[in-house]
Amino acid sequence: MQEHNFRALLKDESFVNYCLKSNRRDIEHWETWIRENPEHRQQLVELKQLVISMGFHTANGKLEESYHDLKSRIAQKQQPEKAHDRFYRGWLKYAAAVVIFTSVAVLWYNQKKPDAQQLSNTPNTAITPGGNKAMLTLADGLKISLADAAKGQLKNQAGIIVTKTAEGEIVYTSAAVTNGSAPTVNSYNSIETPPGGQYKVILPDGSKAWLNAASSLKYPTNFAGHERRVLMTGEVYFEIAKNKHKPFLVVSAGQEIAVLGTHFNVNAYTDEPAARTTLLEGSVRMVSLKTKETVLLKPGQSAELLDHIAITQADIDKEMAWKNGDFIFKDETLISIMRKVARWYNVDVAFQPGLTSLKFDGMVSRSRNISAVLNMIASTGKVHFKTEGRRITVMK
Amino acid sequence: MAHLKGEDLKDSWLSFTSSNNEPAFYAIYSHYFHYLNLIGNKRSFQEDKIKDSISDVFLYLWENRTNLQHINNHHNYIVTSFLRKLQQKKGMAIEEMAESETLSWFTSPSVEELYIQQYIDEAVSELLKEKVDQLADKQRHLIYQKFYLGLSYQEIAVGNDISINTVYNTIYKATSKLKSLISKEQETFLSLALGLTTIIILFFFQRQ
Repeated sequence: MQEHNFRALLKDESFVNYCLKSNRRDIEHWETWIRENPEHRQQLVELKQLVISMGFHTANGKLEESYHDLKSRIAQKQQPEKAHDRFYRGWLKYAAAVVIFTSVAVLWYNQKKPDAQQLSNTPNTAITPGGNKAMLTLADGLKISLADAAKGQLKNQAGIIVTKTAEGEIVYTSAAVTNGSAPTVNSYNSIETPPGGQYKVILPDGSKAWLNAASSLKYPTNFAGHERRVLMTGEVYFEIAKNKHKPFLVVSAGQEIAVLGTHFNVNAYTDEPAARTTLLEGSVRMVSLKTKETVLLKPGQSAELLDHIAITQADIDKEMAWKNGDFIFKDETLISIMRKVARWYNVDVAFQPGLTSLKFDGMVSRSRNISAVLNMIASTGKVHFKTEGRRITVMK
Repeated sequence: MAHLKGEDLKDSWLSFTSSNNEPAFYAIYSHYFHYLNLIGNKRSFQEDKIKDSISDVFLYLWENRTNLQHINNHHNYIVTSFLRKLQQKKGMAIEEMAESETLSWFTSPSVEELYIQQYIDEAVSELLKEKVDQLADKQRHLIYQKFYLGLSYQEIAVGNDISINTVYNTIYKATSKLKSLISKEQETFLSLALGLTTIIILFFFQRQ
């Protein structure tokens, strides 16, 4: 079975319902389909077996693990019924006295210093996630804050109209020019997202670019000439409109990426160890501006630029998680995780020594407040966080 | 692990509450573990809250078993205790339990029954179990929710607080990985079998 069909089948709720015999209608639908398409019968049956087996084994695994934990809990609770009781009871009286004295002392001390900052271990729930924010700079230098702008036409620059079509999106279109022809010299616009911002631009040729936080894209308002050349910083995901006669070139941090028509993600934050380009569809040619080394990427591959260009198998979900609205961490170092958190929540992060290379796994939506992410990491018991205003400190 | 319907468990309930019958306790646990996960997920509670509430409920049941003999409708009792614990953790008021939920779960064939009907090859099954156990916790959890509890992709996305695309991708990747492992194993098995057969045939030829 082709990969495409297999993936589509899994996504289809009715097929999974058929496998699990959840409802009459889906069972009948698929049994009929199999009868009418006998050449696919074996593959579908194999997939169904796989689905059922996976469900069965994960369910058993979870059951056994949880029952084991329950038994431990029961066993633990039964222990204190021993001879320690008498000793503890006497000791408890003194312990209680000590606790009361200490709390009174602490309260009194705190009373005397009302301005001392209260340190809390629980992350500040007032730190909200990023949103659709960006600054558009036009060819004449005029700056427009896109978050504050009203929807509709923003500007007409010599026949090129830029419109805010929705929250988080601007589109370039060319108007019918009544006097003279379209400009042959490129004039540039640039869009920049702050930390905590993100934005989508649809360029004059229909190509789409999604900017992550703390990123920028500089592009001509009209793609005149033999090529379509843009400059970027930070992280941008592109879906480039096909045009065989005009290659699309993305220039960033020491690399130039030439595409014909593809979907790819470029991560070029200067505080990351290497610039990484991930290709989803189509093909791109990458050139290192320093060494002139050239590589051709295939879909599913990632290229990292250090001294040389290194090609690896891409983890697409992880690279594209930001665009899907999630954070996905897979065996990722805490320092790398906190860089992403800092950019999206617009906070500063400081580490106590020895914690930066701790590794974590997890996934959480980017639309939650920072507490959701920090709690997820802290729940492992390996670290905890102190939040003061917009400063996060990572502690043991 | 046979699937038990509501009536069978009544005996287990009596057995477990009147004596320290652990197998009976396990029988009840193994049924309600999945059922409570299902209703907890349907109400969009998070994984860790559901896990803790189930553990709390069954710890309570075990410790107070001698006082629970008089309970006629153990099903309602267990489910209500569970929902109460869940809502306590969330700080909400108690809702009414939907009766229709109970019936639909009991009438559709369990995955165990489907599994037994499959006549899945022993060796393949063992291999699958091993590989499934090696998957990451999150992958196993999403697969459990989709391929056992039968939740919709939307429900899974909301319950785990991730995008629906991430759910599709995670489940697809895990399934794809296992699928290729199975076919690789079958190929190896097949080539081994072929190899063995060839050796035996050659051996016979030699003999003659």
